Amino acid sequence: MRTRRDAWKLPASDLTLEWYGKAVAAMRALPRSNPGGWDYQAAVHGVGVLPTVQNGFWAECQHGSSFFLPWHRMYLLHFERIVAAAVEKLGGPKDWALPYWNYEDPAHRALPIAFRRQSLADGSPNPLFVAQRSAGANAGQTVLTPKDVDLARCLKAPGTTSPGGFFGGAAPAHFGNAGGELELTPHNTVHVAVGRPNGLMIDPDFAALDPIFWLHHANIDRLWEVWLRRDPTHRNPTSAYWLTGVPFQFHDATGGVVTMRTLDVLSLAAPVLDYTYEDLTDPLTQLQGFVVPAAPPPSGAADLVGATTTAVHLTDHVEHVAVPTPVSPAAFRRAGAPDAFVAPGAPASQLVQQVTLVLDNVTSDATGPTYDVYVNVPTAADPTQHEDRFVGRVALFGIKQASDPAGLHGGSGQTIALDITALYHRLDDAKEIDPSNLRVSFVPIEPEPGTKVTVGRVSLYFA
Amino acid sequence: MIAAITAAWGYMLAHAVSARRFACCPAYPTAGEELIGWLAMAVAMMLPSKLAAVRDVAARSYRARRVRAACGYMVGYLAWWLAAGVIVLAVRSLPASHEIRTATWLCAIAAVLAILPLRARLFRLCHRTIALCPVGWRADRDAIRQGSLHGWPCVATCWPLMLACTITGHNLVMMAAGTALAYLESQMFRLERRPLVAGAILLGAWTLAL
Repeated sequence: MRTRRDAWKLPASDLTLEWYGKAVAAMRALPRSNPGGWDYQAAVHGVGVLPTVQNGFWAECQHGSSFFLPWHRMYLLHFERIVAAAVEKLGGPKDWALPYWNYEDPAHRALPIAFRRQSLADGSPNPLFVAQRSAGANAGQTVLTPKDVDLARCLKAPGTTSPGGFFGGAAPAHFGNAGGELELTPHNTVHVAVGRPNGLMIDPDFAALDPIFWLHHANIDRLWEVWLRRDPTHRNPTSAYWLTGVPFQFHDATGGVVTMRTLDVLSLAAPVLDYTYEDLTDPLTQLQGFVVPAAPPPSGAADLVGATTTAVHLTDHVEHVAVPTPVSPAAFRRAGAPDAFVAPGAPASQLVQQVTLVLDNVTSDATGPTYDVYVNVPTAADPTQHEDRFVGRVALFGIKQASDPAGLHGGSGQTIALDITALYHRLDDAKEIDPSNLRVSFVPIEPEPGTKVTVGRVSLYFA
Repeated sequence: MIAAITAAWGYMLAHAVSARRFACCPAYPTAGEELIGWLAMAVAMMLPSKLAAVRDVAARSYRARRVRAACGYMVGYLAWWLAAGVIVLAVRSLPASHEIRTATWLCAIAAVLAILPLRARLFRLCHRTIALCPVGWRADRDAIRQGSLHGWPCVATCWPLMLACTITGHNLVMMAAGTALAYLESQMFRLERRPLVAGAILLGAWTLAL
């Protein structure tokens, strides 16, 4: 069994990353048509470097759906096997495994050193270095902020495919549905933070050309396993459609075609995977000393209780949006259970199990615009001075592709769902929320001048 | 919506039983009969594949407006089929449109259409969503627009088989198989051309047997 190890904790004498670099160089030398080549493997995620799409293998990346995690696990698996074969061919170890970039520790939120050096000790170019990254990332700065790598949201998310759940939407799509919590943060946020403003990582069509891409995704894959182990209520979806309904094709290390379904990759110990991670401990337990049980997923379907009546246009400035919410928590409760007794003045926490803020059909031709979202910040106040009202960071990774009606994604844009249950209940308990009007603020993060993003609708759902 | 689909199939079945054959409409119907038959066929065959889209529109609307939003979607969607029906009326004035062999050719066109790159783009547009205004006339407009956005790609991809069904006098076997094919496509994760081509070829073979 291969063990994927933390790139930041590899001993100085360890050669894992050195062999990775040699394999990358060897793969880059292969023609684009070779499935074992670097460009070909990158094109499986997005076809930025190749002129045409070869159906079935290229541009197959799954985002904004519950296939995000299993597809990327399959993708990583085959990439790892291809690199391992290259390492072995070059005279390296037979058990090479892909390391992961664990950004949990604040000291490890800079790019691992092996990816920043422009040249190796012998003066030759470092295959793991690419210039197309944020300047701070290649300069060794702590490029990831706590909000980029906030694991609490995703690790506490319920195992549902509904908005606000750990998995993305169940409907078939590349981009377009609501992504799961792990996909939103830290997946999207790290992509954008490393690639900002015009790097490879910020654009799904080019992201896999950066060697750090694979270590980032190994960490996302690891966090899926951490989420499963941290709470007995955390379970993978069980729908037949998710488990066996959709086949995906890849090339193995010999160039042969392999077809896989989600069910094939759910257990790391399964012979087809046969790998583990050096560290699968729960980071939230380490921080808090105990496990906070996750709230059970809501029993009923979500109801729309508020929404803007026009599209919201975001720019490179702070924007405040009023969201009319004509359906109060009590009215929602009565509508769902007409016979239920609703005590006058009952708090929202007794009436509503889940509160989800949804940004519908977000479109833009910008690459990776990012906003911090706040709820009910006092009028004229600076949202960044009210971190207790912070909801989440929305990094719109892939928004350009999702917005193109002629592209692979149909032009629906992205839908972002943020679970704001705890904050809503807290504000309601403190009588600091107007039940008929929710105020949502968007703070741009390192915006490019002239950035324009359209949110088709800002909606509020109760469940 | 399910009531509309059931009623449409009921209409088709009733006419087929009364005619004592597997087709519900006479070979030379009046314009009114033709248009009603065409629309009933569109409801019976196409709407089952749009159930998920209608549910989505309803779920993105206030509880009190869900039925209205679903109806708006269907109006927008069926408007394209009604427009196509007007063209069908003109086409049916041609003698060739009453020959079964024309239906065979239309099935062949459907098979060819399934393999064109344009087909994949239309398939993706069939899943496109837009933001819906939650209240007022704009809510109705958006529900209609959402249906319309799904309607035209659907007409553009399904017209050959639908016209073939019409030429066969709304043959029930043709209609049932066409419905299954449309539903199968609506459930596809990505466009799978082989079942669509095979289905069109089988339907073409069936027209030869009629």
